[in-house]
This record gives sequence, structure tokens and C-alpha cells, in this order.
Amino acid sequence: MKDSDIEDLLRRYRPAGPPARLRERVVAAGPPRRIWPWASAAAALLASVLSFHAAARHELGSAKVGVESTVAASLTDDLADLLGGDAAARELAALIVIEHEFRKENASVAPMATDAFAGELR
Amino acid sequence: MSDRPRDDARSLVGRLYDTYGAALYRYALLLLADTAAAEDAVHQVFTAILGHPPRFEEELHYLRRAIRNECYSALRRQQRHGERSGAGAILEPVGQAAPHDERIAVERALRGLPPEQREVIALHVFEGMTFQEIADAAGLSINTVTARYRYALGKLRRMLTPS
Repeated sequence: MKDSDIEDLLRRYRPAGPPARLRERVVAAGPPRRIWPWASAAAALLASVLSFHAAARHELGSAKVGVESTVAASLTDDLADLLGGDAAARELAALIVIEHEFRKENASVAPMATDAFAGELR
Repeated sequence: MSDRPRDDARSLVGRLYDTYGAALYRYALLLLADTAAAEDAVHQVFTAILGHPPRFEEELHYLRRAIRNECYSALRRQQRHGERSGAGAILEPVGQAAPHDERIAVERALRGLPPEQREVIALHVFEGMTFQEIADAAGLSINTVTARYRYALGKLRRMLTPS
């Protein structure tokens, strides 16, 4: 069998089309769930704290805090699902994972601003 | 109080679904090889549109990228939770009726490919996209795309050639 034979064979078919009910399901859908309406504000606050902390120590570049690794991406997906699965949840999950990675890589670094604030609350 | 914004959003989703829904579903179906998972992926993407509608000039690019991301997220979830996909027929004959056994064999062979190779088959063979267009749409190099296609054809040949 040549490549062209395989292609000809495949072209006798096509992926099956969507069931008719899918259009109704899609159009009837409501806006994305926002289980945590304050998630955007929390994410923005967390981003500010992280940025300030990283800038102050000039270590962000070497900290490898990105969520590019498979483990981090997987963790982000899980966390985003737990937080509701919408765009805001994914944003917050990504920031939480970044902070987690950052802390792992900087175990000797002084506590972050959020820790001090949390300590005052205790 | 008016329902106008919601109605507008729904008519936008209806228009986008009528224009792109079938192609996006077919793309998702080939990637996921599971009808229910493909439906969920399309539903998820169109639900997200209600919150963030794409600009008119980039609708197709946006939707294709969104469905791709959703499908790969679904595949990662399946992998983590040990779920197996495979429910429902993923192919239908074009034009004249094809032998049932042949469709089953082709479908089984496609299911035997990794999702990223099925994706290239879907876009090149079934959607008629060039390798460069696939590379641009998927954010891959053209070498990666062509290599995946060659590997896919090789595996399909081995699986479809009678021993």
C-alpha cells in the first residue's frame, strides 16, 4: 500500500458530524460559571504581591517559576477544575501554581508579604 | 429589565455554531476519538464565547485554537484519571456506501494513532489544510507537522495492510 492508497482510503470517509442536539445544548448554555466571583480580584492581588516580591529580590529571572512543565500544567488544570473551570479559575490556578513553584525554588527566601499579613491575622 | 445582552450573545453563539460548529466538532472528534468528549469540548468552547466573544476577523482561528486547547486539556484529564476514550463511531462514509468492515478497519486504525497524529490527519486529509496552514494553526513547526503525518501514514499502512 502506497501513501496515496492510504490517503484515498481515508478520503472515502470523513469524521462523523455533530448530533442535532448539540446545537440546542450549545445555544441554550448560560454564561460561564463564576463560582468564585472574587477570583479575579484575588488573582490580581496575588499577581501584585508576587511581582513586588520578585522585583525586590531580582530573582524572578532565575527562579524558573513558569508553569511550562508538565507537572505544573497538570496541577494548574486540576486546580482550575476545582475552582470552577472558567477563565478566572484558570487564571487564579496558574498564579497559585506559580507562587508554589516560586516558593519551592526559593525555600531560603524570607516569608512573602502575604505570610506576614496572615501572621498578623492569627 | 431587558434580556437584550443575553439574546445577543445567544444569537452570536447560534451564528458561530451554524458557521463553524460542525467542522469544530469533527476536529474535536478526530482528536479525542470519543463522541461524548467531543460534544463536551464544543460545548465548553461555545460557552466560553458567551463571556469573551472573538473578533469577527479572527473567529475561525480563535475557535480552532480554543477547541484544540480544550481537547488537549481533556486528553490530559483522561490520562491523569486513567479514563479510556473510544465511545461512538468517529467516521462516516462520503458519497457511495462503503463496506462496513472497511469502515471499522479504518476507524480502528485511526484510533490506534496518538492524538497529535490523528490531528494532522484530520486537518490535512479531511479539512484539506496544507502542512504550513496546520503548523500556523497549531503553533508547530512545519517539520513537526510533516513528520507526524509521515508517522501516521506509516502506522496506518501497517495496520491496514492485510497480513
